[in-house]
Amino acid sequence: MRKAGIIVFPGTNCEYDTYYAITGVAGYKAEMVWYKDVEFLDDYSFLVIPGGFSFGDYLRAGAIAALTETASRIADYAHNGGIVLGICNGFQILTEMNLLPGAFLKNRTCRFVSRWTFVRVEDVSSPFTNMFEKGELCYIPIAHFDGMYYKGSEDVRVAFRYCDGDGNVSLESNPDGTKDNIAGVLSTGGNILGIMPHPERAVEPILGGTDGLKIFLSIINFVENIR
Amino acid sequence: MSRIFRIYVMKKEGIYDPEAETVRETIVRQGYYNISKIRLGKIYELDIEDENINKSTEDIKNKLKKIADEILSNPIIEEYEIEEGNK
Repeated sequence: MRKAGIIVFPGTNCEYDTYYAITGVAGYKAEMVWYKDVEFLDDYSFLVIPGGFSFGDYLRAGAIAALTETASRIADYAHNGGIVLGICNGFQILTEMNLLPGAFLKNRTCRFVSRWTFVRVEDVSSPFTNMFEKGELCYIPIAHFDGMYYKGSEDVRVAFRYCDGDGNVSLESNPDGTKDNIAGVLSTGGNILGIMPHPERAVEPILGGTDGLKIFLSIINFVENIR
Repeated sequence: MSRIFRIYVMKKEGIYDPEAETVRETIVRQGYYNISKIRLGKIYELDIEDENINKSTEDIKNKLKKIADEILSNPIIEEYEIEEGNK
């Protein structure tokens, strides 16, 4: 069995939850890699950039992490078809790296939002969503301040949208003012996913839900069985 | 030798900025003016030390443009202006 690489920047704070979700619950191997120790990413079957406040979110959320040598290595890994999952701040880093389209603004309410949300699976043909059915609902928590996704006029490949408990994508079910209720975006090639909700926080009943686990299981299924 | 340059980074026209909107609402609520538009941004003041600093302003501005493009602004949502400041 190969292993997942979890990239840790100064200010990253979801790396242990992510590690636990992949190893303790999904039963796969993983290791946390301090960003300065990143050398041979090719040894990893997939990469996760976890949530947090990398470099204090100074300048713009994710901007400084995106300017590191580590980011260039992650970009090489992704350009070679490697699977990269960016969660929350990881999503922001991926947009700042231009690996995913768009940018983030402060939540429309100007408040930090921390709560459970429903998201609807819009694209099941990706390495991250192959164990879902189209339109399936997932109950996963969000926790962010800079979450208003802005994509300009670009077409983006949407993986998840915020919705209500019946699957309706509406203004009321949009927690942060994000464009078209977008909660997760795939790269054109499908090997990179940025997602604002935290799947690693929804992997066991005691946490309040298990729907996030399927994202990790989908990735593991892809890298071990499909690819 | 050193010279001071300022880089103003602003949200692009038409981008909804909730921070700026909160400030606008507050000014209006306090009864000063009825402001329909307000833009909010950051100023970066760079005191650049270089022995060749007085040779070419063009070179400096080109380099500052690169700094603004690649580090200080996100071109999807922000724009910037560069000007020389006084010591």
